[in-house]
Amino acid sequence: MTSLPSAAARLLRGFRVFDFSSAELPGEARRRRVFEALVLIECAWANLVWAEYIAHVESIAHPLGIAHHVPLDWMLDGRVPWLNAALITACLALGFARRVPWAYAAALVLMLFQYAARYSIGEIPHGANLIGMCLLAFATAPLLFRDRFQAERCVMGLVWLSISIGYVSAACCKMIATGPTWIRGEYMALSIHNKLVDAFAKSGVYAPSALQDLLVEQRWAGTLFSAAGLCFELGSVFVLHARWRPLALGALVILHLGIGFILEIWFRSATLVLVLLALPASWFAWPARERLASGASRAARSADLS
Amino acid sequence: MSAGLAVRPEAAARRAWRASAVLLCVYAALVATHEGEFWPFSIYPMFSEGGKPWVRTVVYEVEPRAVAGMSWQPQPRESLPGVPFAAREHGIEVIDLAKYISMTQGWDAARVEGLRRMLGEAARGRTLVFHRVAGRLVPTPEGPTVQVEYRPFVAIDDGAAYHEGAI
Repeated sequence: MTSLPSAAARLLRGFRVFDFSSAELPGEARRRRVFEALVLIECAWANLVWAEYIAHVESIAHPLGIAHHVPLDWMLDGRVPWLNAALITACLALGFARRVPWAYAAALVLMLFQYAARYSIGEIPHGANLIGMCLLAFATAPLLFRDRFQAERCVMGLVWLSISIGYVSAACCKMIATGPTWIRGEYMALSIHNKLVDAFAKSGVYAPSALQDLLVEQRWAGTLFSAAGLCFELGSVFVLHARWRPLALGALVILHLGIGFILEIWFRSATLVLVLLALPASWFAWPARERLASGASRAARSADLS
Repeated sequence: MSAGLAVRPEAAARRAWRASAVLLCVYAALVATHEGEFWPFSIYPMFSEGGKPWVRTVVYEVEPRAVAGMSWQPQPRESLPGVPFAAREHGIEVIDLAKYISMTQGWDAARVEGLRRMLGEAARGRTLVFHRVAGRLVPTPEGPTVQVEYRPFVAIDDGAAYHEGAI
């Protein structure tokens, strides 16, 4: 039987954020590449959507981020956001093609301006924060490592850190602003009414779902769902744990689906990224011949270096 | 790139952790000095204040002459005059609209013009009433209960604007 201290020691040893020594799993390299492509597509798409909206922005009414330091009125010229979106897309493509090591960093800097110009009129959404953090990881790693394998492993470590810090921070904010009573069903009911009014204003139709009705009328159900959400956020610390990572990521996917169905806020980019990272790497190993070759070559390489 | 560019795993991990420490310091410094938001960094404060009252805006389209005899008192959603105006169909962001309406202290000509610009073509040929919707928890003997109040706040048509009377 395993003693408690040894179980705790094993648990602690499992917290591996930056892993440069273990062998590549079959499909792991391809999953990283698909993940990278997904983040880049989401970034490019977000920039186009922001560019379209900036045309409606009259002035930088409530400066956000970089807009506190750089006047962004020039961004409100009709063509500038589109030109910026085109430049960002070009930088993302150059980064993906591994042509220019600083291409992702340039894309990130240009996105700071695009984001600030779009959201300096009041609303502060968080739908693009995770892809922004992923882009920061893509931008940082090639500047640290010239070896592609090590740069890609570094990216993943930075991504695990970003996910974990983000969700734990969200849980901490709730504990600081409200405390443990944050999980009360009444608070959930008030938030649901808020989102129902938002949906009504958007669509002109007031139509709560059966789940929303249940949570508004049965406060214990709201308390249960809120408590589960808070646990999932705090549990994101296990994204840093090699063994429990898929489970922690899966819990965050469930959290986002819950937010989507209950509050009608769909964090599409973040959810897609989390789903992709939670999937087993072996699902990306095709054909089988490549699966074997990839595993063998990485294992040999790791053995050489260690 | 070739494997010859690789550093030993232990050295690579040290380098990655040092870079992470620098990034975390930048993260902390930026969110601490920018009210928790500096994209892509954030402290993610959304929904952190349980039970916090909220204010939104809902728009109704009414008959041109309906504004003159309209009540400006709070009323239930079911008895609001006119038909709901679907903002999304006209490319209007309701959160931005709600912020604009709730942050406007006095409805002068400039603020009304800003509102018209936000609505764009959607406002043309229509009489629109903007209701301020406020949600909060009110204490009752059975415990806190959600109260949502709809109150006409401002109305516009092609030629004029009204805020509890003509502006």
